[in-house]
Amino acid sequence: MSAVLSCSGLVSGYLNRPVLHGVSLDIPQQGVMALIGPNGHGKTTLLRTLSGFLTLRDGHMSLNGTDMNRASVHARVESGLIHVPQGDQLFTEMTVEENLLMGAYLCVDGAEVSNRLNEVFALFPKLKDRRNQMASGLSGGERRMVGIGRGLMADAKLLMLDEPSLGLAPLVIEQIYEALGHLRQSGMAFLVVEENPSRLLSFADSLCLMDAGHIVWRGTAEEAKSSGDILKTYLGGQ
Amino acid sequence: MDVAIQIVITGLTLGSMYALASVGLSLIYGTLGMFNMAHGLFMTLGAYVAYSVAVAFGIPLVLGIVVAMAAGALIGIVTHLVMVRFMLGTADFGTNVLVATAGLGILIEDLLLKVYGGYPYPQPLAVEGFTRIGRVTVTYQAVIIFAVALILILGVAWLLLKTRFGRAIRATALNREAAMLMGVKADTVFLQVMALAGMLAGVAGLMISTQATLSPQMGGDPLLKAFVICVVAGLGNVWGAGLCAFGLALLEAAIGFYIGVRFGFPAMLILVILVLIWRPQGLFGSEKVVRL
Repeated sequence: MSAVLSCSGLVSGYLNRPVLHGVSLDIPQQGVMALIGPNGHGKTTLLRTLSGFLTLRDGHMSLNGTDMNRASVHARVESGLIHVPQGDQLFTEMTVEENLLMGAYLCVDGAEVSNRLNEVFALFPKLKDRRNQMASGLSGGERRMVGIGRGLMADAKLLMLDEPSLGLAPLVIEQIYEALGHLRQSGMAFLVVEENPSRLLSFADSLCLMDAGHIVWRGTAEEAKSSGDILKTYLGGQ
Repeated sequence: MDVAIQIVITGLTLGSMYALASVGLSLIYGTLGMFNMAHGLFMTLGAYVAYSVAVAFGIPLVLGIVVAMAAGALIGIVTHLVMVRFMLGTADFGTNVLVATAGLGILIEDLLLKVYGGYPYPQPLAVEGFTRIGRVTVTYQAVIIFAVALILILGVAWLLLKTRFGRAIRATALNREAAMLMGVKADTVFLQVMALAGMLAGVAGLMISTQATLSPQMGGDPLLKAFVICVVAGLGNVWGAGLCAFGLALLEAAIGFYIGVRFGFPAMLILVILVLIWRPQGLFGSEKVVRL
């Protein structure tokens, strides 16, 4: 299957400190790819590079065959590369509904926007009850739902989720992953970043393991389970 | 009773001008995180351009307002395009842009002095005539100032709260990176905010000049008061700035009447000090200042 996003030899990072040392990654047109690895090894840096906040120093990336090396953040969102950032980054002094509408900012077709809004409300019914409430007053789980819902409001070709389980209670993580399970049936492409691989082992179609700015291992979830040494080495075992 | 009416009318007139000035200032601070020290000169420029056009073509006040708005919006856009845009995202942006806009303000003031001279021209767009409420005189100009401020501020509120355009501005102010991830072009939003704030400042300048005279220094006093209002309201809080503008203006009018006009501003400053001791984040400010 062809890739929605192909990256080869990505080098990027901060001023005097490169974080990614040549990352090559092909993300399939549909299904869930998991990117796992310990903290501080470049997972978030990779997402920020893909969404255009960090400039590419070397390497090449293309979305559905279109070169994206120098594209602005805006241009990438417009072509369907949607990034749901770590820690939600909601617009706290706006209502739940306004937050979701911001997700569809680039869509000017009112009917289409309300369709998408209803889809998000169908996925997270709690948000419908809270639609006129300020985002700052939500619980952690509800904030996560708004964050993911806001990403879904965009016309995503690839949805990149940075640690969707971060800081949530186990029961709430269940709910979030249950919703993600519904979403995967839509046939969209997902890149899910997590530090803790336990949940993604049973959820993702394929896994990439990131360490010190390199992708050190990739394969299917089955392969990861059978070669347990890999996960044990990098993540302290399961 | 007459005294109360007089104070309310003076307060509302002053408050309208302060609100026009401080809402724009607050909008810029909330969105770009910058103190626009040239804001006073945006006002002065609006007043002078309206004056020039009125002298040359004898336009009515309604058109004068449009001209002042256009002049203010234009100077806001130019300020962003030639200066602020290049400074955004640099280290110490807040301090650098403060000095740079202060410099721009001095430059515009000197240019106006060069072109028009220091002579305090009367504003030809001012409307003559008055009516009475009880024994209190209410000038038509005061009514116009209040009506214009009310319409423009409600218009801005509608824009910010109810439109897609305004949502993008608020989102950028609340979380610039997240707004960009939604596809908002932050640069465009900044330009729009500078134009919008400049527009309000231009009208404020025109209104202030109808109450006194035109002079290149006329923007200094309202700028200072707008800063005071923004700080009392909580930096970047646009609604708070609008409310505080009227509150402080009423206070100034009351003190001016009972104690003496020259005590109005010192009383405002004392109040600011008290407010900042009690609530350092301002009356309507949140604990965590919206720094972007």
